[in-house]
Amino acid sequence: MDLFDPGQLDPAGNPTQIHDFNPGTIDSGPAAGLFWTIHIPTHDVHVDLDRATATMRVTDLEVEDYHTIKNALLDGPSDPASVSFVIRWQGVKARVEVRDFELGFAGRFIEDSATVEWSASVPSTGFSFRSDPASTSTTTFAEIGSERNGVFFHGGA
Amino acid sequence: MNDHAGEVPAAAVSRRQFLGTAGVTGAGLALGSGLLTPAAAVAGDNGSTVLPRPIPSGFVTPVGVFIHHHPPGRGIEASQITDFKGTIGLAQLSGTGTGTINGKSTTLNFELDNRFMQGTYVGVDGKRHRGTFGFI
Repeated sequence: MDLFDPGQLDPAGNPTQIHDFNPGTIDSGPAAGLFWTIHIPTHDVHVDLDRATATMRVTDLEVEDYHTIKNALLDGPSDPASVSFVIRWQGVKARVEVRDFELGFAGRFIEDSATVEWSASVPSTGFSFRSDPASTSTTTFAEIGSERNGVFFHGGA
Repeated sequence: MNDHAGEVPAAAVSRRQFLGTAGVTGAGLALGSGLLTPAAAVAGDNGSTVLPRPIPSGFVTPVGVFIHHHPPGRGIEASQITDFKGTIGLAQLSGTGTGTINGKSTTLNFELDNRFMQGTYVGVDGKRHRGTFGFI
């Protein structure tokens, strides 16, 4: 989850990134490489594929603020932070079915629209953020659906 | 893939630009850095906390780090974890908000790609579990 300051422009005229919130990457052990992915309680997610709706509500999730994506990918210095957000998916723009034998996954996806309202805080610096209302967020791409991969793809389970 | 480190001023590019421009390479080495232990045993009232394994595919980022991830788009593998069967959600969104520090408030832009994966997976212990994961 990235924040940019439109008051600080780079030479190309783009807002400069000042915060990058993510939970980090596992770098060793059998789960090595697990990228910015973290367990969340089951009740944080509600999905109804028949009605093409879903909600993801996460509260006070502990993450790190790496400030820039480059620093995040290189595991540079970071500050402990927390984020809370509510994302809602709805509508049907397209229905897509995928079966990819090269990557080994299959899925049925509903492309749709989503909204988000979120907040973040970085206690060590005193920084806090609160997004504008969900209705003001813009969808670049969104989808919900079902997917199976790995042994559940190759095994046909 | 080439290492384009130094060619892209990361502070000036978005996650979408930074992660969305590299091509898919298929299975590769895990060079990802790390600090926390995401998905580590979080005491949960529901869902297993046994770690899952990452998807084997992904791409090399402009800083030369391979990540097990596919940028948003039609037909991509949205899941971050392998040996998984369940529901997923992906939202690539942007907007504005207010950042505050030392009593001073500033309008900021945001971009995010957040996802959930909920269902059955084979954990690092080789056993089947049910759980929910977020990509943040």
